[in-house]
Amino acid sequence: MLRYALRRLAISVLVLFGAATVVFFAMRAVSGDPATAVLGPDADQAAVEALRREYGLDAPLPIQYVQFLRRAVTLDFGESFRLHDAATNLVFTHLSATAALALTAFVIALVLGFALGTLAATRPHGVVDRVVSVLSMLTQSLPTFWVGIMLILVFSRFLHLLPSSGAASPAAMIMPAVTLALPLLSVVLRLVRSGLLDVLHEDYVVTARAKGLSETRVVGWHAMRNMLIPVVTVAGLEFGSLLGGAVIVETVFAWPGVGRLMTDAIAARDYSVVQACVITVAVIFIVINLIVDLLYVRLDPRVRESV
Amino acid sequence: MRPPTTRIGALALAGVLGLTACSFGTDDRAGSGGDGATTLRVANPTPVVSLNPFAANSADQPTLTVVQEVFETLVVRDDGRIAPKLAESWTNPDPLTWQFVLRSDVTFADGTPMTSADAKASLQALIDGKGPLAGLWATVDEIRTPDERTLTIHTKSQLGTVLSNLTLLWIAPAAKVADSAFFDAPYGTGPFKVSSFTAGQAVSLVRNEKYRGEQPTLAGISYRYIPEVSGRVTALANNEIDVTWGLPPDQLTGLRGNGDLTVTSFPTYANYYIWFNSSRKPFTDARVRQAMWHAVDFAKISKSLFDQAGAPATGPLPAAIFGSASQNPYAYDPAKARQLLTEAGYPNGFSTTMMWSSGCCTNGNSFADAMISDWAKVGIVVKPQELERATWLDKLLKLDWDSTMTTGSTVTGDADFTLARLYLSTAKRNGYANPELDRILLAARAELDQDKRAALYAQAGKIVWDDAVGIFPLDLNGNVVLRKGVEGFTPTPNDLPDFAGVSLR
Repeated sequence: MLRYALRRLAISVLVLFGAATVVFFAMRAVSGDPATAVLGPDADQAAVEALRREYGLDAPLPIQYVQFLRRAVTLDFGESFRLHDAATNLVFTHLSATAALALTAFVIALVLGFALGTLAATRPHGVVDRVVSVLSMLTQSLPTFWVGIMLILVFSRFLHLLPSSGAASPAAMIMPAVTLALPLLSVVLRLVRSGLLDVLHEDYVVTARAKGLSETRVVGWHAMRNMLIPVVTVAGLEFGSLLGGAVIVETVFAWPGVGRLMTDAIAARDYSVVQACVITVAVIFIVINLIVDLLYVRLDPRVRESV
Repeated sequence: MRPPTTRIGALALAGVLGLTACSFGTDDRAGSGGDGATTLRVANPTPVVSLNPFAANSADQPTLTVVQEVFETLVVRDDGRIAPKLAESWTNPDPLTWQFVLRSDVTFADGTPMTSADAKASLQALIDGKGPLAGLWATVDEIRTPDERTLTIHTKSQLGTVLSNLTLLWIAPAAKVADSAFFDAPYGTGPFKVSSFTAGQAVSLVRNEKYRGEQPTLAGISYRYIPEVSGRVTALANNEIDVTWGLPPDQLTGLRGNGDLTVTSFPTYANYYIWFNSSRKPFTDARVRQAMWHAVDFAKISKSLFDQAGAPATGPLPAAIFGSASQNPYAYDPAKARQLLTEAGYPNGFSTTMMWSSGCCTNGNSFADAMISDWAKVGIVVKPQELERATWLDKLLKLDWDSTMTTGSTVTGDADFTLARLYLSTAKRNGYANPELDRILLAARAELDQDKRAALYAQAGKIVWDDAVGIFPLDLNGNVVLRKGVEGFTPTPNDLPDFAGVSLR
């Protein structure tokens, strides 16, 4: 088990190094100079050169790269060209907003996904099942930005129930979190439904029922445990895509999170902030993958034995 | 029998839905003043990334919009004329020297009196900050403060734009101008001071209790950035904000019919222009550039795309700017365009490209499409290139383009800012070089007599227009949308909405 964990950790470090390298060179491969983007077309050339020197952009690329890696190890990503603050600070202040949004969306998706999936599976091809299938198809295929704007129209513009944007009150969280949750919700829902349907015909379920166990215990304990593995895998991996979806949702709802910080930073060629954001998101991805793998070991005795 | 699991599912479902349906109404406008005053809730269309008026963002509209409520300038432009503000009067003891007498009753929000040392430090900070406005002061060689109320600016060569330039020199405390932490929550001599600022997101202002003039009726102003147009419109219709501006024309049509809102449109210092790279064939030939202009039916396009968003341009600078003048209009005349092309050696037209930065311009993509289809009718095939701003900027400054569409504003309200910045041959911005134009622009900058200066800019404008350095189709209107109950707002052509005189009913 320890060896397994250590091996996973070593791979994680390699992945992180890869992500850092890709973001460093990708940002510099795109045309557009950060100093010019900050100072605009009217700055004189001397001022642009001075700013490039100040941010170390005048050094040869390999030297900048080594410098970047060395400082990244100590969580120092340099200063934001645009917002005049340490990139690490900016990411951390924005991360809590994104984390709150993503976690709420995750909880909504899991709770609703399990609830609706179980409802659908216990009465296959019933009315509930049909409605749920159509809804899940819709929520999966509708683009996030469109859903967000529609929610704003209905709940803010017409019903005046919820604030349309910002993060000033707890209520402001509802629409962005629901918007973000919908694609994941439909995935969880379908996995739970098909997983339960498969399992409910297994012999051991028949045995459990024959023992006289209550239906709640049969479905909620015996059956549920066995269909959890694919759900945990997918839910874990999809948590990462929630962070990706946050980029769009945060723009639509003016939510002050990492996604919006990153899109603004990319447009402004604010290298340090883009690098800090990407590496932070990569770390989150890696940690979640680790957790998912370790959870497997807990959930599936076969995996437990093999490691 | 009804399976009990259905009940588990139903319960969980009800729980989440119940939570979602709850609405927490909050009111974030309660004012701090004990007189029942309230805070104006503003949504700006572009993010405020800095409140430092001396550095990289010194010419940015979002920065200036907030800065103007906090700081004041020595002089202001009032209805096109320069009027005193922190300076009472000024004289030219000799053509190279400007002497200002400052008011004696001005204090900063922390109670310290404002003196000539503060004015000197602020000007020095703007020059040392090397931002986009530093170039306006390139000929300054000495700033002196003979006494607390006198400021003397000495220039190496005559500088006729000193007063215009001073309308963007904000006076901050001398001890603070070099302290970057000060600009996280700056204060000046203006009616408001900054209470909190999160770069890129929000700014809150509260009254400056030490302000020498009448206290504003507002307790404060809170600005927040809402990136999506639909988000801003909804927030306004939903009474989450009181005012926003810079909305695209198609949104305004809907809002004009809303009884809760007032839409104000007004002329600004901003215009649309399409530049040709005069250093690149075939645009090296003025006849080709003129043909491009004659080939497009701008009257028709502006009617369908820019209903109340602009007015047909009469010169390379909007009419509200000091030094602008009416020029001879270019008629829509495809036959003449073809004839000019033939004379220039392109009887069958040619292929070229036009770039712009995405989101640069009101209805930009539709406008580009409309022009391109008119150009095609005279045989000119124009390939559109919509680019990301940073990429566009890179190509623009390297002169790596055929033609480009953009909008621009003359922030000082003075022709020198735009004409000398963009059309002097040393500026190298559009490949156009004309010694005669250079001579006129430099003479205008050195002219201290403001009427003579205006006449020189009229000549310069005629050259830019007749030589078709670019096409100048449209002067842009600004728009501000207010909720009913916001009173006393007066738009200004610099398109920096000023809320100091506003009250909320």
